[in-house]
Amino acid sequence: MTVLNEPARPLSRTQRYVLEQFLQALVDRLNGAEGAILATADGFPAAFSGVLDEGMQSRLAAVISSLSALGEAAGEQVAAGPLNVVSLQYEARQIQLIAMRGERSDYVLAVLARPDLLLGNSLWALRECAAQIIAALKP
Amino acid sequence: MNQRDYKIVFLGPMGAGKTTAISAISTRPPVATEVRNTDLAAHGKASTTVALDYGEVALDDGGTLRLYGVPGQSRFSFMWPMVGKGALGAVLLVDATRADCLSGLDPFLDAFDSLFRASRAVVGVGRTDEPGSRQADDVTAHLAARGLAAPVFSVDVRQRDDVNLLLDVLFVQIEAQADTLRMEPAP
Amino acid sequence: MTAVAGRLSVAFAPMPLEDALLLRAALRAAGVRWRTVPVERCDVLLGTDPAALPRTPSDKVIRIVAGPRRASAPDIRFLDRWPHTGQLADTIAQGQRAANSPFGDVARAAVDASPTSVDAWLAHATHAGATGQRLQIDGTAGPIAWIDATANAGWVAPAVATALPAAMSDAALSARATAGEVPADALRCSMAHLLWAIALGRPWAVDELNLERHRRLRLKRWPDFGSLERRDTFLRVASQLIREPTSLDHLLAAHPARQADVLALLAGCRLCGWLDVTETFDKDAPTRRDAPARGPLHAAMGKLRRALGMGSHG
Repeated sequence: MTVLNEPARPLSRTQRYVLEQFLQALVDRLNGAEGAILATADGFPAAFSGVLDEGMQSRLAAVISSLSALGEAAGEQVAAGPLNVVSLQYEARQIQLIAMRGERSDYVLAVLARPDLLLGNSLWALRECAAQIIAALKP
Repeated sequence: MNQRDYKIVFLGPMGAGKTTAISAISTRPPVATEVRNTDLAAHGKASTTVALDYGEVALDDGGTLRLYGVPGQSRFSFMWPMVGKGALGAVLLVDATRADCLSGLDPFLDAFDSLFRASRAVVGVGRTDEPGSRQADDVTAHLAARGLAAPVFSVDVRQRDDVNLLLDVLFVQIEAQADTLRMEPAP
Repeated sequence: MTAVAGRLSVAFAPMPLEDALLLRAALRAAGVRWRTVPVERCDVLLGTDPAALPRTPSDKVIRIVAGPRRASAPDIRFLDRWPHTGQLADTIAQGQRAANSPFGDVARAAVDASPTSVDAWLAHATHAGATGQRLQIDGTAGPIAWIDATANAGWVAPAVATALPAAMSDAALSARATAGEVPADALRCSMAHLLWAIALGRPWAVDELNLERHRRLRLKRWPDFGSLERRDTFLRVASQLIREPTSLDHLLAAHPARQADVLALLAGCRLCGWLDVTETFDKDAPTRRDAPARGPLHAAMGKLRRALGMGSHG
């Protein structure tokens, strides 16, 4: 689990810009990635990089927060410990999401990619991006 | 779902008491998907359900009564049809102290219209004894204005008996439908 | 030519503008001579909602509501064929004749007695409301409750608040209109709460419900069983009456072991204005029925009730 400690204040415009740069770098790094989104754990979009419109970003933020919460709940049933990653493989795409849980703020970071992107590459890039976000949002 | 299993879905806006109601009757501690609420301006509750609540009651034939609660906020409305699929009936809960008490019902009435029109839904109105709150009659009138006539009761879903009342009248409605289908047509 | 006598002072209760225009047009079309005045000086009060009719200073005021008849409002005249207005002038004329009758209006009769029927209770409550007073209900030990029919409000004496239906079974129960203030320590409640307690506080004879036995009844809404006391059979009978109009005789035949509960429920629903008396009758006499055969759905509901720790339904 990626640990994050920052105050539960709304993100400033500067912070959002920085986050978008990190997400863009994530997408650029991964050959096959189509977009990346950072959502609050209760389903609001915090930052996005990619070609999805604003409406789709909002819906995707809500969906991945639900997925993360369901993943957490599944883990509790089998005493698996905190959730790290949820991976979804579809015929035409794949989504990986990583839970970022902190003292007062929780986030979900997800990447949307073509099906041929290697899972290991995707997870490694997600973790690196999450670490950058943590470093950037610390006071 | 096992043929001996039954499903009831709990609906309602955030803070209406869905998680509480399920907890009041679930045999085991329910599964919850609650996270911190970052939109305190919209609702002061510290946490919010983002996927579903799940509780269950064991039946004496080995089956299970499965209790599902939907997330109350409209951005999670994509979950509602999934969570509500195959439900025997619905319990709609509302907080009578909320300014949007009545309008907040509409998304659920829209999404689960078929259950309401089939008389497979009941409504529980909480906190009607607080000053300035709406009353069950107001909710009844709101439903009537939409052409709906579900039972509407003042309840405290922290009390198991009150949750049982809502379910009991749901079962009575279902039995009444079965009786009507079996009766000869009226002359 | 209208039979309405003299020039009328007419007041209009709050209503949609289109309804007010329709009523004014009807008065003109009927040749009625009239002028609009405040409620305090009117001879005739017109409205579209019984609950929204303001108090009138005199019980000689002719109160007319444009809409279907309500069983719970005996001192109001209704224009049953609304929005057709042809009966308006005749209704006013009838009211004038009743007001001038030496026998007066039944609802204006001074009351200081124990009501023995649903209609008697309704007459007591509406008479009090029409005269700007409250209905005080007294028991052996003193005042039990107060009803303000106009404000749809009630109060109950603290001593009986937790045993209200039982208090209404007092053998010395009586009701009277009073202009006095409700004691400061009386507990506020809804009027429905008190009317329900009256209904559940005593056993009812069929005749006391003032319902034709073969006329089909329909419940307009569910009683709020979350706040109103309920008994075995109440849920089932209420569900039946909402789904399908049924006569009193058929209801009693369907629940032979619970007839007292059926009568109590109907009394409560009549008192609270939730019972519609339809225009249709049951053609066949009811036959005493055995308990209906239970199908798999009933078995399933029984299973769910047992699992939730509820009692079974007879």
